[in-house]
Amino acid sequence: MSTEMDLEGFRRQARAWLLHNMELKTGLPTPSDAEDRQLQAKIADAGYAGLPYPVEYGGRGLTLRHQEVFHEEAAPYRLPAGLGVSLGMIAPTLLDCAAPEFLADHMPKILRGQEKWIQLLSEPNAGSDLAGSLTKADRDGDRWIVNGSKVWSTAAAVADYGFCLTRTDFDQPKHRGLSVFAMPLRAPGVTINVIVKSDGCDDEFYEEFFSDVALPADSLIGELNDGWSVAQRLLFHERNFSGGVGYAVGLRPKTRESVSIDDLITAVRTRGTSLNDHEEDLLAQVYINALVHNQLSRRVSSGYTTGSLNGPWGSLLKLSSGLKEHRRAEIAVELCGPAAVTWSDGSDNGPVGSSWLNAMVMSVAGGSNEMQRNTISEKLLGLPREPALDRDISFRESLRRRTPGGQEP
Amino acid sequence: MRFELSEEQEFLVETTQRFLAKELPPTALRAWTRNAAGEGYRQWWRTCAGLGWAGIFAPESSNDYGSVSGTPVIDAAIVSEIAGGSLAPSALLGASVAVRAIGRACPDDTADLQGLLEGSRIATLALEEPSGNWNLDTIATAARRDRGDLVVTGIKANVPDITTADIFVVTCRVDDSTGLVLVPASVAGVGVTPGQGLDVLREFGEVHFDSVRVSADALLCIGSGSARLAEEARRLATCLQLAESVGAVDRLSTLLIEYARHRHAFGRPIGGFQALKHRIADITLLVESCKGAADAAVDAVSNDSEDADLLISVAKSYIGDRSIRIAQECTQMFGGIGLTWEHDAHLYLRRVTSNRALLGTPEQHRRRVTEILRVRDAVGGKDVH
Repeated sequence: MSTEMDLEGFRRQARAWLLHNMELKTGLPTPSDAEDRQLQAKIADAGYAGLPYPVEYGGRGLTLRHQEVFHEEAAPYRLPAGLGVSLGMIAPTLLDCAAPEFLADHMPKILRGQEKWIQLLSEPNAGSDLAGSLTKADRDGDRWIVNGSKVWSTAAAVADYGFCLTRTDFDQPKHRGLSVFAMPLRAPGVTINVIVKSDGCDDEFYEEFFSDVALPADSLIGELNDGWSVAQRLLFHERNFSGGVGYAVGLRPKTRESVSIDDLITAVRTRGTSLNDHEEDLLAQVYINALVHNQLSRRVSSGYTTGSLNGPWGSLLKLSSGLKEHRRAEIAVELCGPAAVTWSDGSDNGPVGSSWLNAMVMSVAGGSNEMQRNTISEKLLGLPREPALDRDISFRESLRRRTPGGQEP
Repeated sequence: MRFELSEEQEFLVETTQRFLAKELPPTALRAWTRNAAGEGYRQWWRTCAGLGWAGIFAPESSNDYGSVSGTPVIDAAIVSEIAGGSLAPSALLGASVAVRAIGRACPDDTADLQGLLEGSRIATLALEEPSGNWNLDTIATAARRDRGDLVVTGIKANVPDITTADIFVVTCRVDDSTGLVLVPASVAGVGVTPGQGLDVLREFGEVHFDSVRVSADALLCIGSGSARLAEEARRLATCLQLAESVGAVDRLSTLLIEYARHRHAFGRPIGGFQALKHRIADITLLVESCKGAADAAVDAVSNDSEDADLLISVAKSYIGDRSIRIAQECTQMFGGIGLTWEHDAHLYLRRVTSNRALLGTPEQHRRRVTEILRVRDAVGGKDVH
């Protein structure tokens, strides 16, 4: 297949392959991790994995449009559900930053679903201010010894590697002493615990503790002490992923809502009275907001494709999702009234209440609305940054200033 | 502006922008606030028509005019968006609706067409009625057949270019259907009453048709086709208004961003304060979303898609609500200067607030979205994404 392969020919080929080889997702449960890996291997064997990635790293050397076309055709089928972070965020970041030997070793396995990666970025004391990372990697001969902890990683229990931001030099200013390592999650010294979310869910997010975890020298991704640039690339691809653009095009369904409009109508109807004009208006708002979000996403996608847009426009889509979810959940609670807060066993209304709690997930996870607003205003609009008091002093010094007595922690 | 433009459309964008930058400096705009009608306006529109603004929908038989890309709805929306950014006075909407309708119904009517294409005659769309009605199914103005003539009776409200227009394109009931009738302003029984409007760069008013007798040729189409023509006129008018509002909020937010970069307070540019830059980020999100919504509606109308009415109402509701929030937020962040007559903020606020209310309010369009989806639901139609 040549790079120039015409899209319509590719579409027909993909359509035929999907028809004969994949199951329709209707009525089937979301694939488990093991099923994800089997499905991805099947896709890879047929030549539909890693479409826009270089051939030498296990890809097909085609374009992002090919990936988009494949996923347009594949939408009705049962595809891997838990490889988004690996394929949509980590793979393009590695392509941007990792050494050729690293790529040759890991990329083919990632693209086949054989190696599942997660992010190890946030820490208990470094969330929005990610560069304040305290997890450290100390050199020990030709190895690195990692100590510290990470939080809010998705699917850590079933993943193989983590993209781990660590501090390798405390005497450099905050952003300049960081490095990124490939962290094998089954290595001795790694402990993984689940985080129970505010809605009670206990299989979505995890925290990790590292106690003298030894990593070989070739685990380093990008340059030593240049981890901040590497992490920035990951954040860039993450925002693109949440907006379904760039390398993530097609990898994520356009709308992903815990309570759809149909669910909402059903939920309102259970109270036994029909919708009044005001309520119909609110429902129309939910519908319109969802549709316009997709239209915005199409616009950004078109801007990327034509080369008219550069920079982190995914932040705009991320912010859009965050705000849309708040409004949708708010309207759901308003429409359902008491039925959103108390319900009988087996009623459909439980999700309305918990989707209200969960609305804040979209607006915090993967970079809060506030951080997206910083990115939009600084990187897209060229407005100045707020002055930071810890940019030009060593990280060690900034930690000292943080503690009440001024001692080094 | 949309990203996917043909070479011809890129040229159209460039020439339109250059023309307005040269011919409509801020001082010129100021003069229009005291004179949105009359001879100056006629002359201005003739200049615009000279660039081809009035002729985007010209039939193929008229050699000197037409769409540069073969997709006139998109071309007209491009011009409308750029004109909206400059707040340019313009009869684009009326001309587009009239030229398209005449071109389709009677392309040989070169007399009426030529004047419109050259800009020597100004057409306006008379659609809304005093009841606040913009819905074609329930309009009251009617054209009755009488021997070889049509007799038009009714009142139209919120009609732009009310005292300047030479031709009214009137939506009315004809033969139990809806049609478009061309009524010259000079015919006996036509009475215009200019009103006051929030948008001081544009003139609106009421027109009364008191048993106005026009020739049957003035009906642009007879039978079931006429309803479609009227519907197309309404769709086109709404598209151009949406594009204009998008152009307006795009420019206003750009002006604010410039201001926030350069205005200093407490020793630094005000755009550096998160209290403001976060709001500016929100505005940018709204502006870009408005562009996405308008482009989707314009594309649907241009392709005559079955989703056209739905996407128009989605965009009209969204842009109506968001454009005034954008203009309000920008005005607030300009601070004191934004409250003065000399600053342009109020002109943009006036424009988008008027557009929000005309051709159907956001609430009315949300009701229409609900109706369309309900019908679709009943027939098991597919979802739009």
